[in-house]
Amino acid sequence: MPREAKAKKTTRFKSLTVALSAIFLLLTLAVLLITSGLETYLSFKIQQKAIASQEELIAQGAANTVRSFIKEKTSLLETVAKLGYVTPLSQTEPSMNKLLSLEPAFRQLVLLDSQQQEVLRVSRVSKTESDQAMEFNKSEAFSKLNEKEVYISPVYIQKVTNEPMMAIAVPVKNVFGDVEGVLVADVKLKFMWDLVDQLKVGTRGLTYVVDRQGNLIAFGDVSRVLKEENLASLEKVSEFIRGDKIGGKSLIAFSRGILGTNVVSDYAPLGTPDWAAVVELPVTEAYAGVINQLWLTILIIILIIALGAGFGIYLSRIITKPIITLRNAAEEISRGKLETKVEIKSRDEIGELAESFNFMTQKLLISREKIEEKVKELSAEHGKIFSLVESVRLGVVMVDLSLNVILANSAAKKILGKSPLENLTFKNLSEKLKGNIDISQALSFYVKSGKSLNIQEAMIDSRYFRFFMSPVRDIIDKIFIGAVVIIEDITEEKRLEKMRTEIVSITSHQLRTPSTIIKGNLEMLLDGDIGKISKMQKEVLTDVYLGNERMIRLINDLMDASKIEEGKFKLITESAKLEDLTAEIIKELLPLADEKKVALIYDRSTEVLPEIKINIQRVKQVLQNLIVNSVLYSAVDDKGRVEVTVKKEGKFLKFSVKDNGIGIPKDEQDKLFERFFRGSNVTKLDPGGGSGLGLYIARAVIEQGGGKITFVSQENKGTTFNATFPY
Amino acid sequence: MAESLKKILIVEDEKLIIKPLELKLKLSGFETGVAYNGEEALEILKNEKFDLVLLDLMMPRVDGFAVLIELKKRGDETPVIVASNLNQMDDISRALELGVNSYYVKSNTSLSEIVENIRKALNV
Repeated sequence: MPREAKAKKTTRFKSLTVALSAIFLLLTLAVLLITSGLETYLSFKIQQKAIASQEELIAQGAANTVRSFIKEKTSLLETVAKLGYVTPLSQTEPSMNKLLSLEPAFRQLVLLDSQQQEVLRVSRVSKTESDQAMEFNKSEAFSKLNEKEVYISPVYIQKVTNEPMMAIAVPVKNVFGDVEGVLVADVKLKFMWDLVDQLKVGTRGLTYVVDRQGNLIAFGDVSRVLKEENLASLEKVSEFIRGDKIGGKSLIAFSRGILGTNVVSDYAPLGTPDWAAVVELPVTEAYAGVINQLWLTILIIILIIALGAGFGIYLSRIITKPIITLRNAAEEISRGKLETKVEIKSRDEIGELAESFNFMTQKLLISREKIEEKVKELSAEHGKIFSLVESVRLGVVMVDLSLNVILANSAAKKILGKSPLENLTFKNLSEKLKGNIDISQALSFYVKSGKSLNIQEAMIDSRYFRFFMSPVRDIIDKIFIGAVVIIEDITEEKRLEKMRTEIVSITSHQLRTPSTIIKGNLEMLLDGDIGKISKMQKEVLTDVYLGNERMIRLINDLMDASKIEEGKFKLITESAKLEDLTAEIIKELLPLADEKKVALIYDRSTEVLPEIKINIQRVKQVLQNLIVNSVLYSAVDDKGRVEVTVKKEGKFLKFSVKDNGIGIPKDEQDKLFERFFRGSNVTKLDPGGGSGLGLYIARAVIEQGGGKITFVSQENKGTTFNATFPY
Repeated sequence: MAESLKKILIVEDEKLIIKPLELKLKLSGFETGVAYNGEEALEILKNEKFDLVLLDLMMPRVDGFAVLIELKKRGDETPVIVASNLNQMDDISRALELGVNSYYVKSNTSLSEIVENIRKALNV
C-alpha cells in the first residue's frame, strides 16, 4: 500500500479532457488558417495587380500631361522661331511679346545670335532682374541644338522669386536651314506642377516627377523641390535611373515612399525630356480591402476558437466522463472500499470495461474476505505463540543473521534492564554482557555453523544467568534464520550450589579435626611414647587406628568427589619418573601380595622413559589402588598373578596392570567409573571395603593430567587397567 | 646434645591436637611454644625467636594466611611448616606462594612424619 501511494505522488497525470479539447481545437485552427491564409494571399495578389495597373495608368497620364506641357511650350517657341525665315532677327520682337502675353508659363524670352550674343529680350519683369535670371548654359544649348530641334535645361531656381524654372531653347534658322540664332524661353514650372498634382490615385495617393538623376522636379510640396532633393534612394526612382523599365516591370508589394511611409508605387518615363512621373499610393489605402478581409478572418478565427473550445470540452467530457468514473472507482477501491460499483450503462468498450471492473472488484471482495479469515487465524496462532513466549519466566531473545534483535520477551528485557515497552537491541545485550561472554562472536559462530546448543554463564548486575544459545531454522526451508538466546536466572541455583559446596567443605574440614585428634593420640599410644602397651592392647589400638584411617579416607574421597562434581578439582603437579614411582609402589605392595599369595610382577623397561608432570601423591594413590584392587581380586586361588608395565606409546606413557582375577561383569562395565559404584562380585569379596569413589576419583586424577584411564575385562578371566600420562 | 634445643612454635586452636603434638615434639628433642591463634602467634614471634613455626591455617580471629602475610611484612624468615586440614589446591598454592617450607594435611599425615620433616627442615 505505501508503495502504491508513493508511485501516485511522483507521477503527474494530465487531464484527458484538456488533451482532447486541445487536439480538437488545433485541428480546427489548422484548417481555418490554411484556407483563410490562402484566400488572403490570393486576394492580395489580385489587389496588387489591380493597383499596379491603376498606378501605371495614372503614371502614364502624368507623363503625358508633362510631355504635352513641354511639347505645347516648345511648339509655341518653334512657331516664333520660324518667323526668322522671313524677317531679320531684330524684327521678331512684336511676335515675341505676343507670345509672352499668350503664354503665362513663359517668364521671359531671349533671342541669341549664332555667336551666342543676346539680340533681343522680352520679359514680364524688370531688365536687371531678368538678366540675372538667365542662368542656363548657352554653349551647352548651342551644342545640343546642332543635333536636336529643341534643348531643355535642367530645372533651376530663379534667385529673386525663388521659383523653379526651366529653359527651353529652339534654333532660329534661315531659309537655307542655317542656324542663325536661338530662341530661349524661361518657363515657370509651377504651371506643370499644378497639372501633375491633379493626377492622383485614390484619396491619399500622390504624383511627382523626377529626372534621370533622381532629382525631384515636380511635387505638390514645393519646398521639397526647392531643396533640390534627390530621390535616388527610393525603389521606383532608382529603378527608373537604372532604366529597368525597358527590361520589364518589377512587382514590388510595397516600398518606402517620398513621405517615408510604406507605399505601392509605379512610374512612367516621359521620353523627352528624360523624366519620369512617379505615382504613389499608401499601403494602407492600396490594400485596404485585403486588410479588411484579414481582420474579418481573425475575427472568424477567434469566434471558431471560442466555439471549438466549448465544443471540444463538451465532446471530451462526454468521452472522458465514464473514464473518470472508473478512475474514481479505482481510487475508492484502493482505499479499501471494495463494495464500490461502477455505474456505466453505455454498450461500448467503456461499458465493457466497467463490467469487467465490477467483476474484478467482486473477486477482490471475495479474496479479501478469505485473506481476512486467514489473517484472523494467523493472528490467533501468533497470539498463542506470543503469549507463550511472554509468559515464560526465562528471557527469550531472538536475533536474525545480522544479529538484529527481532524478538525479546518481557523477561529478557527485565533481565537486561529494559522496560517491557522499550526496544531491545543487540548492542544493549552485548554491552550488558561485556567481560562475560562475547555474545556476538558466540552467536555468529552458532548462527553460521548452525551447530549444537551453546551454554554459557554470565553475571549481570550481581546476578547469575545461564545463556542457552541455539540456532533457529526456518520451519519450511530449513535454512538458518538466526539464533535464539534463552536467559535463565540461576542466581538461586548458584547460591544453593555454593552453600552445598561450603557445607561439604566445612563438614569435611570439621570431621578431619576429630580424626586428627584420634590419629595423633593413637599414634602416641602405638609408638609407646606414653608407656609400654601389651600385644593385645596394641592389636586393638591398631584396629581403631585403621578404622580412623578409613574414615579419613572416606572424608577425603567425599571431598574430592564434591570438587569433581563442581568442576573445581585441581591438583598441583611436579615432574616425576613414572617407572620409579611404579617401582616404589610395587616395593610397598609386595608384602600384601605375598600375604594374598598373588604373584606381583613388575616388568621394568630397560628404556629410559621421559619425565611426566603429575601430582605425585595423588597419582601414586591411584596407581596403588589399581594394583591393590588387582591383587585383592586375583586372590581367589593360589594362581593369582598381577603384571605391571610402564611403556611409551605415542605421546603418552602408558601404565598397565593386568590380573587374572574375577573380572567385571559385562553389564556393569559401563558403570565402573560412576560414583559409589561397586561391582556385585566385589562386594561379596570385600564387604565394606571401599567407598565406591576410588575409580571415580582415579579417573578425575588421570584426566586432570591430560591422560585417560581405560580397562578391558572379562568375568572370571581377568582385568587390565590402563592409565596414560602425556609427556 | 651439646647445642641448645631447637625451638618450635605450635600455632593451633585445637587443644586436643596440641597435646599429642607437643608431647611428640618434646619426646623428639625439641623445645616447644604454643599459640592458640594467629594474633597470639604474631605477638609471641615479636618477642621471642623460634627456629620453626608449625602453623595451622583455619583459626579464629587471625588465620594462618594472615600470619604468613604479616611475617613476610616483618621480614621474619623463620621457616614455617603448615599442618592444616585444608586440602584444596587453592589453599595449598596460596600457602606455598607465601613461602612456607612444606604443607601437610593433618588428617593424612602421622605425627612422626611431621617430626621427620621438621628435622629435615632444620637439618638436625
